[in-house]
Order: sequence, then C-alpha cells, then structure tokens
Amino acid sequence: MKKNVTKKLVAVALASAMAMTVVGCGDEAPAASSSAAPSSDAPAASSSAASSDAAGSSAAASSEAPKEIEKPESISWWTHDGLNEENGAEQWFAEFEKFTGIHLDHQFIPNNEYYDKLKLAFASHEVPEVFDLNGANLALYASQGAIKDLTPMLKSSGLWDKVDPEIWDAIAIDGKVYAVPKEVPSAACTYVRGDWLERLNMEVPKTYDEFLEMIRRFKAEIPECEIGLTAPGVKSPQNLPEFYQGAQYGFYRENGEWKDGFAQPNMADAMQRMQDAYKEGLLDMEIITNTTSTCRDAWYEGKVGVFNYWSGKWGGTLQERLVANNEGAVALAIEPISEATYSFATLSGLCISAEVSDEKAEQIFKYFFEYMHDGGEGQLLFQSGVEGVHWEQDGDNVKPLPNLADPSAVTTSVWITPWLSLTPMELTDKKVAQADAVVNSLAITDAVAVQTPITPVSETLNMITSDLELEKADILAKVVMGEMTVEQGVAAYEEVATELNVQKVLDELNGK
Amino acid sequence: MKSSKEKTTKYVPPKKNFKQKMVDIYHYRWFYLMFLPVFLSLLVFHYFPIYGIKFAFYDYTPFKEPTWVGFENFGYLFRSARFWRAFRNTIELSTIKLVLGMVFSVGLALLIDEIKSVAFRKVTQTIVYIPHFISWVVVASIFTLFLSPQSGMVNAIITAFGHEPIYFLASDSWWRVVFYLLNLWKETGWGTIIYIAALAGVDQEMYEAAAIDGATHWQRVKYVSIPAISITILTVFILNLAKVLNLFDSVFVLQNDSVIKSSDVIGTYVYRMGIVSANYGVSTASGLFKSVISVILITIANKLNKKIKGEGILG
Amino acid sequence: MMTEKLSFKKGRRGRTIFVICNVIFLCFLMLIMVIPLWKVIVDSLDPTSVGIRLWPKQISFYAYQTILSKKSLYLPFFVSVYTTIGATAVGLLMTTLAAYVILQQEIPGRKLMIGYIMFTMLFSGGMIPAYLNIQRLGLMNNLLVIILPAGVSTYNIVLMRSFFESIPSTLYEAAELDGCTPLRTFWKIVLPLSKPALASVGLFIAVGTWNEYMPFILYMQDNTKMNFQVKVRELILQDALSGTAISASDDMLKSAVVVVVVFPFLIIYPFVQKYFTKGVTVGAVKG
Repeated sequence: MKKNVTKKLVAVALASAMAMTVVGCGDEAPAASSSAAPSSDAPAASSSAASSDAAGSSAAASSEAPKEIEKPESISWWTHDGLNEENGAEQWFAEFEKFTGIHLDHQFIPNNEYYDKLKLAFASHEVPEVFDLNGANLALYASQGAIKDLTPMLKSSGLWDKVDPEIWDAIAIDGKVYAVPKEVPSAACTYVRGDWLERLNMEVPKTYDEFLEMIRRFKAEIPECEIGLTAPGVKSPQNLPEFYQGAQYGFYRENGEWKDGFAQPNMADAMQRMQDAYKEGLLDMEIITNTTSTCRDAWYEGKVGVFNYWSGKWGGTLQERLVANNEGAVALAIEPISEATYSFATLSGLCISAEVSDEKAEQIFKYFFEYMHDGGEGQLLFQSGVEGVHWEQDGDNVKPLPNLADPSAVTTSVWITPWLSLTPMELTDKKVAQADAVVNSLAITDAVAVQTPITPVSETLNMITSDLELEKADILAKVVMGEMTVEQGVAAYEEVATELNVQKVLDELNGK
Repeated sequence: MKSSKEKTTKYVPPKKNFKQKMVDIYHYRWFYLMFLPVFLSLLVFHYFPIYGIKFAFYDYTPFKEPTWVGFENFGYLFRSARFWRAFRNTIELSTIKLVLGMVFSVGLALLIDEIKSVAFRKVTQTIVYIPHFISWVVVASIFTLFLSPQSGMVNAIITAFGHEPIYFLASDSWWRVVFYLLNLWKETGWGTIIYIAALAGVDQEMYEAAAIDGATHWQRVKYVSIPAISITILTVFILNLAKVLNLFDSVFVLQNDSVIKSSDVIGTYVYRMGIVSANYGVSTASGLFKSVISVILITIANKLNKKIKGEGILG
Repeated sequence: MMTEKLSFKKGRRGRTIFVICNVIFLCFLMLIMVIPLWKVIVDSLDPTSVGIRLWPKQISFYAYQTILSKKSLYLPFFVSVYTTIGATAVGLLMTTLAAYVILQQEIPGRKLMIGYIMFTMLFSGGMIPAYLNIQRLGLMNNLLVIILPAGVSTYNIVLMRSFFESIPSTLYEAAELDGCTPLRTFWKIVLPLSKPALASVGLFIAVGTWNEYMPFILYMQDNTKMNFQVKVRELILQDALSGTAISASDDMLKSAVVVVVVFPFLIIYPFVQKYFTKGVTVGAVKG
C-alpha cells in the first residue's frame, strides 16, 4: 500500500511542477511588454481570465478613442481618508450622483491597512477602478504596469495646463504621469514661540547663526523653555531644514540625475551642525526616540521653542491647543532662513487601474478627474461638500457647517482642502475663510516650498533597502548624539555603500 | 495532575495486527466523530491555503503571475550579515523574554495562591491582567514618557538620589532591560491565569498528606504545588517556543535609531523590505525559514521534556 | 473560603510576616499595573491633558458620549461582543472535543491526529493564499470567518488535554462500566470536572477574538461588520495622515476607546475567577 501512495504523490508533484513551469514560461512576454508600455491594455497572463471581475473592463478597446466620451454608469473608488460614513459620506455620494448621474461604488479602508488591502485586491483581481497612491507606492505600481499612464489624457484635456508644471515634474515617473493629485500636498514650515521672541525683544531669525542664537536665548532666558527645538527623529530634511540646508538623507534628483544624498559632502556638514547643536543642548535630548505625537504634545504643553510641522490647518491647531494650555502663547510660522528651504510632502494622487479598458479610463478621467478640478460645481463639491450638510452660503463665502462627526469642529474640507486645490476655484462667491494662523503659515510655504520628486523603483534598492536603512539610521543617530565623529560617520557610510553596491542602485535609477 | 515525582515511563500501546486495529477503530468510532469538527475546521482554514508555502520559491507579487526562482528569495535574506544578526537578536530577545516571563508568572501565581481572602484574590487577579489588553502602541507611548530622561518619573527618582538621568530607550545596554521589563509588565499577569487554573486543579488531599507528614508550608509548595503544575509549565514553554521567532510588535514600537542594530529582529528586518516592494515571495521565504527553525526548536525541547518527564508534551 | 488566622505568636510569626509582605508586594504590583491605564483614563476625560498628568484638570465626558451615540463606534462594539461570544462557544466546544480525543492513548491514528494539529501551528500559507481561500469559499464579508476558526489552535488543544489528564482514570473506567458512550462520558463527567480548564481556555479564546483586527480588515467589506479593535487602531494610528489635524477631542477619543476596549474583561474576570477555586475536582474521587 505504501508504495502506491508514494507513486501517487510523486505523480502529483511532477504534474504540479510541470504546470508551474508552463505558467512560468508564459510570463516572459507579457512582463516585458507591460513595463515597456504601461499605458496599453496588455493584461498580464493572470488577469485575462479573471479580469471579468474588474468592473466595466473588457477586451482591448477600439484603436480610436471615440470623440464623444460617454458617461460611465458607475465608478468604483477606494479611499482611506476624507469623508467616511460619520461625516456625511452617504449624502455626498447621493449628491454626486444627482449632479453627474454616475454612481460611485465606494469603499472606505482604514488608513493603516490601506496598502495591504490594495495589494490583496490586485492579487485576487478585484481591483477598484480608482484609488490613490503615495510616492513610493506610485513608483512601485507604475513599474509593475498596474496603473494607467495618464499623460496623454492630461494633455489633451487641458488639465495639464491649469496646474503648476513643478507638480507634474515631481509626480512623473520616467517622464510619464500616472496619478492626478487631489490637491497640492502640504508643506512643512518652522514654527517658533512668537511670544517668547517678543519677550526677549528679538527679531525673527534670518540666518542659521541667528536661528541658533534664538534657541540659545530661549533656553537660557525663558524658564518655561525646557526644549529648544524638537523633531521626531533626525532623518528628515523636511523636519530639520535649518540643519540640513539642502542636504538629502535619501536618494534625490539633481538636474535630472539621481544621487545618493547620504554620501554627499553637504550631508556631512548637516551632520556636523546637528551634532554641535545636540551637544550644546539646543536640540531635544530625546530627538531620536520622539514620535510626532510626543513632539506635538510637548509643543501643546508649552515647553518647546521651535517645532517644524505642516503648514495650513495644522498651523491653526498648533496655535489653538498651545493657547489652551498657555495663555498668550503664539505659534509663529517663520520664513525659512536664508540657507534653508521648506519642502512639500511627497505627492500622492488618484490613479486608474490598468485593468480598466482604455475607453472606461477616458470616461473616468473626464467625468471624475476633470470634474473634481473643474474650478466650478465639481470642485466645490469635492472641496466643501454638500450644501446644507457640510457648508452653507454666507455672503461671498462658503461657511463650513459643524462636523457631523465632531460638532465642536467644522468641516472645512471633504476630499480636497480648499486652499490646497490643484486648480484655482473660479466661482467668485465661494471663498473660504481661514484662521490667521492657517493663512500665515500657508502664505509662507506657498511662496517658497519646493516639490519632492518621487524615487523610481530599483530592483537592487529593494534588495538592499533593509540593510541600507539600518546602517544610515544607526550612523546618523550615533553621529548626532556624539558617539561617533562626523569623519567616522562618513567613512563608515562609504564602507556600507561599497558593500551594498549603492552605485548599482544609482545606475538603475538613472536608467543605465 | 499526574504524580510527577518519578519519571513516568512512556505508555507504549501494545502492537496489534490488522484485525485488532479494525476492532479498535470500531471501538473508538465515536471519538473519530468527535474529532471531526476540528479536523474540518483546520482543513478548511489552514490546510486549504497551505499551498502558499511554495511561494517562498517564487517571485511573487500581486501584480503578475508568480515565477519560479528557486532559492533566490532565501538568498536575498541570507546573504546579509544583518539578517543573521537580526536572527540572533530574535532568538536572544525572545527566549529570555519567554523564560523570564514564565518564571515571574509562575511565581506570581504562587503568591496569589497564598492569599486566602477571595475578594483580595479577585481584585489582584483582575488588575494584574489588565496590561495585557493595552496594545503595544499605547504601551510604548506611555512608557516613553515615563522613562524620559527629561521629564519622566523614573528619572525624577534617579536624579533625586543625585545621579545623572539615564536615557533608557536610546542606550544599547538599557534598551534590552526596558524591553524585558515592559514585557514582564504587560504579560506576567496574563500568564498567571493558566498556572492559577492548574493550581486550582491540584488534589487537596496531597497537601493534607504532606501536612500530615510534617511538611512546612514552603516544603508543601516546593514538593507538591510546583511538581503538580510542572507539566503545565513545560507544555506552555514548548508551545511558546514555536512562536519565538515571530517577535515583532513589542520591538517595532520600542525600536529607535540609536538601538536599531541591537534590537532589530527578523520581523522588523523583513518589514523594512516590504515597504518598498510588494514581493511576497521573500516574506513567505522568511516565514518558511521561521517555521523550519521552530520545528527544530520544538523537537529539541520535546526530547528534553521526554528525558525529564518520561514523555513529550504530545504523548 | 477559609480565612487564615494571622497572629504574631511565635509559631505563626513567620507565616504572618510573609502574608503581610505578600499583600504589600501585590498591592505595589497592582499599582504599577494600573497607573498607565489610569493615565489613559485621565487623558480620555481631560481635553487639556498633556504629558504625565495623574489627575484631570477638567472633566469632559465628550469622548464617552461620542462612543455611546455614534453608530460607527457602538456598532463595532456589538460586533466585537457577538463575534467573541460566538467564537468562544464554538471554539471551546471544538477544542475540548479534540483534546478529549487525543487524550485516548490507544486510539489508532493518534500520532497522525496530533501531527495534523501541530503542523498547523508551525506552517502557514501566508496572507494572500488565505485571502484567496476565503474568497473561493464564498465567506467574504461573513462574520463566520472570525467565529469558526477561532478557538481551534494547537496551543489551546494541547493545554486542554493536559488539564484533562488530571482527571483520574478510575472515573473513566467507572463510566464505561456504566455503559456510557464516549460522548456521554465527555458531557457528564469530563466537562463538569474541568471548570478551571474551560474557564482559562475559554478566556484565552475570548480575549484572542476580542483583540483581533486583521481578519476584519481583510475580509469584511461593509463598515458595519468591523469590530471595535479595528476602530481603536484607526483612531490611534491616525497620526499617519498629514492633512487632517487632530483636535483635543480626537485625542480624548483615542484614549477613551482604549479604555472601552479593556473594560469588558475587567468586569468579566471576577465572574470567571470563581472557576479557578480549588477543590472543584475533589469529591469526585472519594466514594
């Protein structure tokens, strides 16, 4: 009996091995084509059978796009932020359908698991037609041919021209744009305690030396100041622009060429500055173990002098909650010192799944993407929501109504933050009033902030990223805290970069 | 519990021929029926998807069909010295945490057992098992505050005694101490549940017999209580050994750049890889690797158990 | 139960000192365990709370009111309760049955059965195959996905079996002589005598299910089927979003849900605890 069982097992094993190789062989061609021409419909071997699940997709579309683009009946859309059922999502979708006649098949995924669920959707071939992706994921999905190239549609529709070209440049991968941002990203700016400046009769610092001097005086002369400058870690040039002064922690693009920020001489300078500031006690002693929560909490308590955080709405919050605990305190957004710049968060945008037919993609683009950026009714709906539910008309202004979920706050935006809209709002009687603190911080970042381009995907990078990130974090932490000199840190990194073959990564990023 | 004073000789069922076996099967037919629900449940929810293990040998992303790559995924992992250090960290952190946890849980269970007042016992047991319910994210944020070198309570006490404040979480040497203490804080109470239950099942007569023999209270604990629950202790130990490599949550939330080298575990290592790629092949390979090591650990532990107790936990 | 006679007389002095020290130690331990939770409770009541504040400056019940009034918060709570009770009942039943079966030393195929169970503890197919499996079974968006597999784990089964071993074999023989089928023996004798085991494994299954969140996120498509733990995570990990500012009431809500998720088991445990009292198995053997 035993021998028969063994024979059977061997037969099954052989059969499955053969089956697997067959599938494996068939993969070569589609894989190549999908990366070369992501805009075409070329389905991977897997999706051909199963893509009937993907709503609305069909076989390859006709070669000419019809001049008359029909309205789709429904569009499936996944979100992980913005409106949810508690603050009137239902009403909003009803209103959308009323205005456009299109039914939005919507699912809300908790933010933390959004990307996991999205990958599962792809693995099981039940992909939503529209979903948003952030920087790193955008690069990944584009490289896998999972999302459509939207560049032609953008250009032919005129949406391209309405938007700041810096944004297209930053979000493009290999020159193609795969996602349309919902809004301009937030930028981070530095906030200081304006009231302390006044107390010390100091001007807002304009250079690095003045900046340090300000922190020194805060710590020396203001008793409540326990922490000079706080940040959640030292790895982000965005959070510490005054110290990085243009240096980059990771890979970045300069004049079209990708470089390794950590290996540049200006990074060594940045490390030196941070080390000196830490030693002098100007930086939060716990900067390495801080999280954004602990930083914010310390700020609200009133013991921090300088804190770099998002501009706009957060400017308002930082002010409000600071004042709640400390009368008369002022969260003052300052312009960047001469040596530094502020930057925007990496872009994220709405994508169309590659499993959607070309025809449907055009429909989605026209009736959904263009609609939300139309500067009129559509944009209003996406920015402020449903009239009577989320906002009401107040003279020339749009007055947000109390948030259905949390009546103590107001619904300033639903999907698109009004003051961060991609395209200008053209309706003149739909202005949005904002608190001063919000406006001030925004004005500053709007004027100076710089976009952060997306790092493309590199196979070698995927392989070494665990090790590379470990070593960089370790070296930087040790240097800042004074356990290693800057020279030692630089030398250590050189070793690491050679060992892990960072050069290969750069070659791949630069398309060699 | 079985009297564990002497090694139990392993019960060896007598050899039977085919006909006797069939008689047995008939005799035990009801038992097979009773086993059916579990059989089906495991079949449907665990064994059906188990083919997924093969993906350890594939280049497997959600976006295209999996392609065979042999041991390449393992190569990704194994070629790096840092992966092996993470492996070593995992074993160290996990096993010490396990042993400490069990020692303290058993100890606490015995102490609680000494309390005769029912009300006090209820209160104590309820309160000590609370920390188990607080998620690690919350625990980490609370204790980061408590242990802060600038404003934390612990350092307030330390400086009151005239010493320099200690930056616990950023120090290679202290981080592990904090890690173990926090795990103890969180899980000791919960761990006592099973030992208290086991102690409750000890035959009272054995205590009475020992008392008659003139044993002091402590001797009764040492020679009756502990041996009585020793099988439970060993069983729990071995079962937890299987999960030893899965260490992730507690490390992830407490980790920071200062200690990242000494605190990196397999889970966090693979997690970082997963951020930029969607290669499930590698994570499946890592899972398979962990499974294989777990099997080895359990086999060794079970063999030791056999030597001590005369039979393994599975009989 | 008996309360001990404590006195400082010579013979009992050592014992008394020990008991006193023990009590002090346990009180100290309880304090350490409770303080962090206490801080969370304070945070949930005080909108101005920052840092380590052990007594609220202001008290606002806003967070708890929100939880009681908002469907998106109290509904998941009920989902949690429902799935936990279901999973515990189903899980206990299956676990005890399986444990009882492997208990039988002479049953043919015993090693196979044990191996079958143990294998699942050590090897698993991964997230995607599991997901595809549930899809194919048509169990997507169905709470049974949580309830059915819940209690069935190697850990629980082995634990249960080791508890069963403490039941003297004389009882089984007596039952067999009386003509009981295994099922009746199981029902009438094994279960009633295993109260501590049922209580502890039951508790494990209940807590495990209560704390689950991943299967809900993966398999449930309606927001009405999410459980409370999913909500807790959503709120606590909200920080990841850059655009949405977090108001004071949001922070209070964060802490409040942590309290609410812990709360039920604080109440349940004293009731469960009575099964952990000694002497339950005594008396069964005598006579």
